[in-house]
Amino acid sequence: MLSDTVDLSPQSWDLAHGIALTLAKERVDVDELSKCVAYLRSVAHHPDAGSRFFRFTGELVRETGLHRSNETPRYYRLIDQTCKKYLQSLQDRPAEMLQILGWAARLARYYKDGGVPIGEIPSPPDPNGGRPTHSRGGEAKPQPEALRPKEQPEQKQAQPQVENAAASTKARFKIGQHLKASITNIKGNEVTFQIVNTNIKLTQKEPKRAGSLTVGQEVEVEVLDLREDGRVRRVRLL
Amino acid sequence: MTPQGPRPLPAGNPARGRGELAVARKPYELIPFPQQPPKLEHPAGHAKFHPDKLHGTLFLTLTVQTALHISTGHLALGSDVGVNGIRVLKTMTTTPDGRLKIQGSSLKGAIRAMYEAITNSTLAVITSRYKDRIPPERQPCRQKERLCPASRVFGALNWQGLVEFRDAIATGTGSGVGSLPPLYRPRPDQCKAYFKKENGKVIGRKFYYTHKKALQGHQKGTPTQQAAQNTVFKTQIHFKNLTPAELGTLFTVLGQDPNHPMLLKVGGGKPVGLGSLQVTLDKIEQPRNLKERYSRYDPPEADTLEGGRLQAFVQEQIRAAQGYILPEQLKRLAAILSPTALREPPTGVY
Repeated sequence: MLSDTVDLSPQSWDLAHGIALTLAKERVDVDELSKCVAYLRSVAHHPDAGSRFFRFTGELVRETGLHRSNETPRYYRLIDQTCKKYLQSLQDRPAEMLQILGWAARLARYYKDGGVPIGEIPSPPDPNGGRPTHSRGGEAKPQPEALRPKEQPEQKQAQPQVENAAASTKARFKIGQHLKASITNIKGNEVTFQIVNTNIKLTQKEPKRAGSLTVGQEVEVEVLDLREDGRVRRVRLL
Repeated sequence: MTPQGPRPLPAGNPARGRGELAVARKPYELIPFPQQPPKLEHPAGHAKFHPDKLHGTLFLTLTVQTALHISTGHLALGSDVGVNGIRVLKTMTTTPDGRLKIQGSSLKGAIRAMYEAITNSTLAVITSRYKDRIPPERQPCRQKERLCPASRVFGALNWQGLVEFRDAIATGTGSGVGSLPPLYRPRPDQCKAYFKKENGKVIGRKFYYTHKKALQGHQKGTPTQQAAQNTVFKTQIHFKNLTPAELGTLFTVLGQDPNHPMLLKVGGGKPVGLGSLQVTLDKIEQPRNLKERYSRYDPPEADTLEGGRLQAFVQEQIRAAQGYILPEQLKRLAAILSPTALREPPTGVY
């Protein structure tokens, strides 16, 4: 069982609202979405949780034995399409997917009982890495105060480890993986590594080795720790 | 939206007559409530082990006679539960190492229902919608000082019972898969057979027959993870402060009375033959000297009843239950749950 939790970014809140509004407008049974959330929660500790989830929603559409009425296939089809549309880009981040889907289910129930608001449905993220757009150029639907995300302290921290999020999310890393890196800066005993062929830069203290390194030198590093979203947090100079 | 199924026929009626579409006879029977109201007594309680009462642990082996499915309500990919060739299926509870599990609560419910039926007891749980249609003397016990026979043993509102059920764990890993045919909800409001004509009150308790095999729905059914036939589960039941009659009744319900052998019916798909379990009593741990028993970690060998001593003890308790068990109710229940007079599961739409 996955015990990690993540704070949702404003973009993620847009995704949750987008899923909830789409499904509420189509009068999809929220319990069916909750079954999918339950499935993702049960497999979230697996490395391929995201792809398993999309396989699961796809199989729900195909497995006729689980259809209990004429409406059920339509529910499953819409859930499958909507989840793929909004969450495919987060496939490698099951903790975030789980948070978004959990809120989407709650919001869908809220919209179902309280009425679907008139306005734009937030669109899925731009495949080129941009923020979610809105269907017809309207403003994002204001979020209730209680649902508004808190400031994320991690984003505010001074960044000794400079990373390009857009580039890093495209790459997949594992703990223990060996990578080639070049040294882009040395300041005192702090060394900045740039992972080759990416924009990922990590600055960390190398008190014993800093003196023997030079800027521009190519080295090999081992991934020691990853962030929840799969980005590299720390490396070891080999 | 639930599809409209055929209305259940009254129990005991043959299939619909000549020329009409034959609807299978419904595979259940109602065991009427006894005429006399239940005798409510003060329970033995848990404050101490009474020296004149029985305490111990039953070690049971449950062998699946017809495929068993107890649903968790959770869906998974077939590959997630080690079943190939199935896309998505309804899962059963498993242990972390992948063994199938029958929850103790499921076993307790099945056993309690049978215990209630053969003793003069109240109902344990009722739906508020039908509260007015339950005879007043069969409403669940509310006063913990005045409990019916089943409530004294299994518990009641605000009152813990004298028996505790462990989860039954399969001895082997792996599981089967089946296809549960479509089943429609019970329709008591549409079936007059559930209620007495004169006052509209509920007639009795409903039990499904045991069947020769579990019907599979194939293409049209719901894919389910199942415990296949001959799967073996192990479990334990702890008991304390039981009278010989109460323990004897429990043995009878577990099918240990050679004159009235019975199977348990547990889980989903009972109408189409699923969920029959054969109970075997392996041994009983019954401390003779409680102080000595709880002064050491392992029980003395003399405290464990097996083989001939076990059989003699069981028969002794069953004899003590004569007069406590309602003979007519027992006869009817044993006929429904007989391990030998098995029926064919109904075909067609249920």
